[in-house]
Amino acid sequence: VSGGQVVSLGERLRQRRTELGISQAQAARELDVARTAYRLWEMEAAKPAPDRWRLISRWLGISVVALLAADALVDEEEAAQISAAATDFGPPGRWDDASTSIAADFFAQERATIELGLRDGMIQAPRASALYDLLARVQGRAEGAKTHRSRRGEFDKVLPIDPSLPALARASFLVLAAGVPEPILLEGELLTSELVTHAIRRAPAGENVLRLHMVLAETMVRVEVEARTAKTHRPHGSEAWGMTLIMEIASRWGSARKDATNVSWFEIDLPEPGSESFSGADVTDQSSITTASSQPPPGGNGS
Amino acid sequence: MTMMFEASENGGSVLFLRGELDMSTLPILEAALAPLVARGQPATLDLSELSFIDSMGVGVLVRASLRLSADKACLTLHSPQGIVLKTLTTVGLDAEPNIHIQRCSVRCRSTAEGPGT
Repeated sequence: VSGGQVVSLGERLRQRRTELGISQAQAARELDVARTAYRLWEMEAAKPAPDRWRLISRWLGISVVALLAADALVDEEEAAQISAAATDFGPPGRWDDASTSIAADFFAQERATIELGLRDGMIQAPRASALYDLLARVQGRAEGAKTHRSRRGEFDKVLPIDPSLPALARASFLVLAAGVPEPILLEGELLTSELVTHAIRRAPAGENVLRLHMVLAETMVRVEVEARTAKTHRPHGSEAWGMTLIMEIASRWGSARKDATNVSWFEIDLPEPGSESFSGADVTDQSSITTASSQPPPGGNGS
Repeated sequence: MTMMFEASENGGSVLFLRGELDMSTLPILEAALAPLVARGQPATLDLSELSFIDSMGVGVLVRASLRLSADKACLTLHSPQGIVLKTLTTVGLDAEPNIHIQRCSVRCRSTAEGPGT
C-alpha cells in the first residue's frame, strides 16, 4: 500500500494469473475454491471470504494488509496503522507467521497475535486497543459485504448480436446471480447460453440486437430473451439438444411469439437461504448428476 | 479457448481442450477436429480442462463421431468435469453408439505428462 494507488483485487488476481500463464480453473484449484467463485472474484462480482485471505495474499505475493486494501476493506490510513504495528512486532512476515500458527478463524488469529504482542511488549496498550477497534471494523465490513448481497436483482439490456454475445450473457448472468448455490449458478449459465444462442441463430438477416432480461428473486432466477425471428429458418441439430437441456434443467420454461418477435424464457427455483443445499453446495460435488433419456435430434448429422 | 495436440501412449494423438466451448469458439474446434476425423482413426478429446460446453459444442462432437462411425472408429471424451459432464449426459451423449465418455472423478489427464511439458 505504498504510493496511494490501489489496484483492485480482481485486477491483481488477473495480473497474477496472466503472469503464471494459467487458466481460471487452475487458479481456482491453487486457491482451493470453485472455478465460478474465482471467476466472480476476477469480475469483482464477489469477494473472497476471510478464510481465503491468507492463501490469496501468499499467492499474490502481497501482505494481507495490501489484500484488504485492494478489496477496499481498509483505507490507506488504516493500512498504514496495521503496517506500523507489524513493523514493531518484528521483521517482515513475522506477524503473519505468528497469526497463521494459531488454529482459529482469521479474526481470532489476528486478535490472538495482538494479545501476544501486548504480552511480549511489542505492542503498547493504546495501539492494541486501536488495532482491536480496527479489526472489528474490518470484520463488520467483510460481513456487511456478505449479508448486504441481496437475493434480488435485475438485468435488462438490449445487446448487439455477435458470436461473443453468449459469453457476454453468461458473464452477466453470473454477476447477477452471484451467491446462489453453485450448481444452480452453473445450470443457469448454461441455459442462458442456450437461449441467447438460439435467438441469434433464428434472427432474421440484418437484425443486430436482442433484449436480455434477467431477474433474481428470493425464490427463483428468471432469464428471458426477446428477439426478432425469421419467418423460416433452417433447423440444425444443436437446437434439439438445447431444448433438451432447457426441459431437463429448468423448473419452468416457455416461448411466446408476438408478431415477428419471440420471447423465450426459463426459470430455476432457488432453495431457501440458509437451507443445507444453499450453504453446503459445492460445484466440485456433482453427485446429483442425473442421466436423462437420450433424445437424438432429428437429422442431427446434418448440415 | 485454447487447444493443443499431444501424443498419447498408444501412438495416437489427443486433442486437449481448455476454456469454454460455445458459438464463438466453435470454429477453432471444427478446424482442429477436421484432420483428426479425416484419418478415420479412433480420436480422443481430453476435456479435463474444458470448463463450459453448450449445445453448439455438443453438435460438433456428435458430427465428428458420426463421421468417425463411417470408418468404424470411436470418439473418446476423456475426463469431462462438473457442468460439462452434466451437459453431455443430459443430452444423452453417453448413450451414443460410438461416443465413449471416460469419467474420472479427479481431473486426470488422458496423457501422462499433460500439455506444455
